[in-house]
Amino acid sequence: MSKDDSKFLFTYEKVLKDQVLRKLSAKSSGSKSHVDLYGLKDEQTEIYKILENTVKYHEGKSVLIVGPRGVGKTTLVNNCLLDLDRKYGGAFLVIHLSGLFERDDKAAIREIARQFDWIMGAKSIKSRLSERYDDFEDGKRGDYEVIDENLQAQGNEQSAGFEKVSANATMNTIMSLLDTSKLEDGGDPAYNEDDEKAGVLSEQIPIIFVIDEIDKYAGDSKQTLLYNLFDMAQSSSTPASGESQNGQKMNPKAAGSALTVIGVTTKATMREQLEKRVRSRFSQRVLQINKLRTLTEFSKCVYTMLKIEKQPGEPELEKCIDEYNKRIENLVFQNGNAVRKAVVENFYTIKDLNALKNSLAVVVRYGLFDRKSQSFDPENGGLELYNNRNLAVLDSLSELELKLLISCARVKAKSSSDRINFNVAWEEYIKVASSRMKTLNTHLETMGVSFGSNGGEGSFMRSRELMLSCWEMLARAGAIGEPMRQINGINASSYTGGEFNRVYACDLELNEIMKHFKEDRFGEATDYSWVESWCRI
Amino acid sequence: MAKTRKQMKGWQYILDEDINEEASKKVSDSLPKRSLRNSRRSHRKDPEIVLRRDNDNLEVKMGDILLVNDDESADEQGEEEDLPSIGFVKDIAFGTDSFLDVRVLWFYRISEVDEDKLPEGRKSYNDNDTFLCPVMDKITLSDILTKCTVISDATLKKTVIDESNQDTTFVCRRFCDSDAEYFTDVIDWDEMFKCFQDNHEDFYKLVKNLTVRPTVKGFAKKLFKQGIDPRSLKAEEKKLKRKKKRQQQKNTKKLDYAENDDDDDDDDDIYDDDDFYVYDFEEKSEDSQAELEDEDSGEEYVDRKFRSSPRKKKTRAAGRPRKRKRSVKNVNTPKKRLKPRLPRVARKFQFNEDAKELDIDSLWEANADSETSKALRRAKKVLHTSAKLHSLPCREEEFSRLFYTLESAVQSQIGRCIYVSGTPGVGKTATIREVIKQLATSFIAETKQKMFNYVEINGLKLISPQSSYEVLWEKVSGKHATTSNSLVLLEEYFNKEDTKRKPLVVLLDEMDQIVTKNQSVMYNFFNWPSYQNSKLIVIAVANTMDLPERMLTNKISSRLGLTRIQFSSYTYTQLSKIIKKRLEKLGRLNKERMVISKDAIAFASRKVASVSGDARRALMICIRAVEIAETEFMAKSKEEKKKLDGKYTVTIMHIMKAVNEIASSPISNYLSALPFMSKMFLASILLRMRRSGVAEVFVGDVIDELNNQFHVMLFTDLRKRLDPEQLDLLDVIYGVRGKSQIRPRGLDFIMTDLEENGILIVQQTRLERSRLLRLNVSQDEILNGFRKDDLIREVIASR
Repeated sequence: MSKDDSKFLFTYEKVLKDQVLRKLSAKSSGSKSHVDLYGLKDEQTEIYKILENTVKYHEGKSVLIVGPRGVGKTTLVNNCLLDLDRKYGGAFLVIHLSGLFERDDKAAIREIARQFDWIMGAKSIKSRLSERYDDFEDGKRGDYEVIDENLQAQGNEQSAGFEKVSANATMNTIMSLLDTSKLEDGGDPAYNEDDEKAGVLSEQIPIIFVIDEIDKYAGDSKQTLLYNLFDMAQSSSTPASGESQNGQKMNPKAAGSALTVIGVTTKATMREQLEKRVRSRFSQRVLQINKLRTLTEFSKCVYTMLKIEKQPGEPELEKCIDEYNKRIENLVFQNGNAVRKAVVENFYTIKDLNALKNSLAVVVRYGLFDRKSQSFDPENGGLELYNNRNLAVLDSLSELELKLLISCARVKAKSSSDRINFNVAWEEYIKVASSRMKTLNTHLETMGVSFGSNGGEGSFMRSRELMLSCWEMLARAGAIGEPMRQINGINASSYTGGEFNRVYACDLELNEIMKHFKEDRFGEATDYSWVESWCRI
Repeated sequence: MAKTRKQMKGWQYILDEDINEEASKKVSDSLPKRSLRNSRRSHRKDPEIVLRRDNDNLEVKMGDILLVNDDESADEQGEEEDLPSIGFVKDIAFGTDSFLDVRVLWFYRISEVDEDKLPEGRKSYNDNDTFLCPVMDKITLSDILTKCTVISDATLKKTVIDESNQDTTFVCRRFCDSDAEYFTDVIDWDEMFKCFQDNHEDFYKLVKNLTVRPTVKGFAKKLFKQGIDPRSLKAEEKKLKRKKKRQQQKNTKKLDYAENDDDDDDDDDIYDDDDFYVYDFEEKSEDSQAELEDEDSGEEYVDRKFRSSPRKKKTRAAGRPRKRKRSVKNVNTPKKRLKPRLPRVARKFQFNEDAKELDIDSLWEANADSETSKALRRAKKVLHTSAKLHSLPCREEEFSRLFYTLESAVQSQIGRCIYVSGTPGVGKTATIREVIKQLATSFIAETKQKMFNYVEINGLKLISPQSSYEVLWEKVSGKHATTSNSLVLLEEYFNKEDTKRKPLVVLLDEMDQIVTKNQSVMYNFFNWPSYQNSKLIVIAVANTMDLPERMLTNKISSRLGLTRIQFSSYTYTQLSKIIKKRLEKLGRLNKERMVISKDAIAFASRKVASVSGDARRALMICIRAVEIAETEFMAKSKEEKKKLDGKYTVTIMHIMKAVNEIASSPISNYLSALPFMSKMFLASILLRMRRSGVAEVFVGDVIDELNNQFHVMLFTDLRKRLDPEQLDLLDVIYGVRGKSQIRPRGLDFIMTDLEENGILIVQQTRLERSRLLRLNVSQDEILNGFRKDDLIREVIASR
């Protein structure tokens, strides 16, 4: 790389940096732009085809997308929806649910109602705006190709919208709107001619449900939501309106609104979790996205993450992008590079792109364009973020707490039982402390210095009360913790007899503590050299 | 048809160029890819072929009507003795893929037609009435039994039908569509036959056009009755558009359609046909009232006349030997006829076919234009569970039991409970709905009024079990009330004597979901029917047969009564029958139905029957197979596509793929894509488990095991891979800073990842080392995957 080139690169530093950082920090869900995914073309076209079939041919389907976190499942669906919107914008509705937000079926149904309300609201505002000069009522009822007449009608009937005060009523509204399979009795006064006309003449709008973390809804034994959605996806595809001579008829209101459910989950065992009648209604379509298998693929993926697409226009910028891409390629693929090392480490340990993204963002921000240093450490492929909690806790403990913890670990090692209460730990602490004191005294005595009786042990031994508060600190920090006791599969209520006798489990091994403090700790204020001797049994 | 000359054995063919010179145009449209070429040929005069059978000099030529032995050996059930099919020889020609093609149009016998669909009722027909339908099929020469005659109504009066000719003489008064569901008005067969002699091609088209169900007609008629002008509706736009064209046709009679057709292109495809149907309808709706009345009176007239004519033919006595010339040796007794068979559980009334359903073809995109992709798409549509069914095959027994139980209950106005059980996807709900529909119609037909009300409550579509009261009360009263109020009101309602009240049928679907702890909801639902005045009929549906005994207390199961209907899961024959039945909707032709090959259907149904007997699943597999075939077909090159077009079928391979896709669990794939550390983690768990013999392992132990492995094992392969990257194994595992090498990095992440993917079950606690782990998948599954992995193999093998 000649000097001119690099200088050249820096003229556009800010532009490039912005672009790369935007790419690295792009959030998949809810974003309005495509996020490039490496190696998922087939899956994307498949999902797209399914969705397109729904919109075009009114074909209901239920699909599960299974894969570990961070491989781009939601992004994939989002990309497809964006494509679909570009091509058939307005010809379908999308309802987003997430198992993390809507904890149970009731909340989910409420959310569905709310989103319907929102869509209708947005549409009626739009229609009001465009028919500004018509009277209000007309504006509300204005018929747009875009708007599903039935939805509209439903919305107007109950002017309050779909969401009701009681969960029951909400459920009923949603069901009557979406469920086509139900056989309705003819005598029902609710279905007058208007409905009928609407049912026959107006095309139903396809609805796409995207459910993140769908496994959360399978936890419930009833699986009501999944049952209903899958059932509707199954039974709703062909328009099934019409009636007999005598008025016994299918519900014309919801005739054939095609419904596709896309469930996104990490559980590879999701299908087995479904209840048998839910499984019977599921379309049996499982799309799996896995982590990349080979290192080459992985590094290519990293490269796609970092590189910038060429934008035609300014020739200088273009050249600059070329230069940048070359540089990135060099960094990612050439052995011995810091970035390359980080990529490889990440690949063999956690294989997680998000972790890598986070650490690379720092590199891009501070290292990559830095004229002088040219060295950048991507912090071990982002692995630092996933360090073990216990060891981090160790570093934060005070000396007394540490001593108490070591006493715990000693008891554990000696008695080979990991149930410890404060009394036991305290005893052990006294024992160790006094023995340490004795050895210290003998050392001192041999040196001819007497320690004196007044300070003596007292300076090492702290009061029981003080140690108890240390004990509580340890429990709070998680170095010791209440062991899970299960009685008949139910977590037993915790002990209430006072802090002294409460049973804890020590979460660290003695040798772990020892090793942890054995490391070279130059430049640290506290002296941990005593730890080793404390740990020796 | 005869594939080779050899198969022509016993037959001779004569090229007779003198016979019928004017009427020798031939157009075949049975094989679409040939239609173009044939249509070009259509104006050339082809020699007419006459076939002659050696042993009895039976001559077969165009326009003859044959009795054809039409047995499908693949069909297992030969329930009833079958009459030979009647076929109208449309043409005989030298074929491309076979030596000789004999193409026939089939007649429906009256016995094959659903009586309820016949216009004017069954009584106005003779036993040897037949209906021509526009289904073209090829037949084999060996199947030909003998010739017969079809006469018109007029000729019938002149001739005498007695025992000597009753098996070979048939009357044709109407045509019908390929499903024998729509019948044309009365037609003069002689005139038709003349038309055939004029132009064979147009005759076929004419039949096709005549028998197509005017799709929107029913709807329009209905509106008309309601006083709504049909023209004010959608039809108006179309009408305006086509006004010109229609005016040309306005006053033409039906027969003239054939002539009009001449103007059209010969390679008319379905789109044009569709348009044509629309004209048909529009013309009717234009002057519908008058014309309809005219026709009606005309028909009545004919019928009266006909009825007055002595019924010479009685139903065929069972013992009487059939007269059939069995001159050909290999003609066996016909076993079973599959083609135009009436639905077993026939829907006695039916919904209007939705206009959209016939319009499907117009939706196809230009790129999906080939015949095969069209066929595949149609197949998918038909196989989808939501596809409208005309019948429910293989559920006849349950159907009739339910039907009669309900019928008697409704008639006697006494409350009743029926318990229906069966695994998912065996057609419980579908059958019950069908019963309700038919019951309603049959009552209306008898008494001209609605005899019962009906409400459906699905346990899984309710938020809480108690809300079923609300639903029921809303149905009963039309008013809304809160749950507790509903209960009180319902109690009162069912206790009150009310003679005007109609019986109420309640379908309690997924009943097991409305079982509460004290079972009060169930109790009420089964208690109300026992009230004297309730007239409540409850059909409870659940999955398990012994649910009443298992989940319900005695006081409830005793109220449930003994009327229990068990839906057994489908056997493989039944499943394949169901699939075939659905595919039948694609068309009458064997070729059209062959979208999925017979073996493939059999394979799919066997696969499903061996596991669950779930019809939904069987259909799902078929749909998936069709999809796979579709993508495979689309991936082919243009020439290949052209070559395969029309012949492409879903084979056993596609089904196999679909089954594998559904059966295979994503776990093994997931496992093999795991990073090295995750694999090591799992391997360590396995080692620990092996050592301790307990299924649950502490995380601390696993960490120790991991440390052990990393310090003891060589990991040569991994080291080799890391070397060029200038990385050290232990540095990678523990991090450069972690000299002490206490715990590998990212363990928490790995563990959560495995847990989220359902591989591990991790005890939920704040502790790290003292957490318990358990594998959620079988050990073998993990081991098998790891044995293939170079990096991890030594750890596994070391045991």
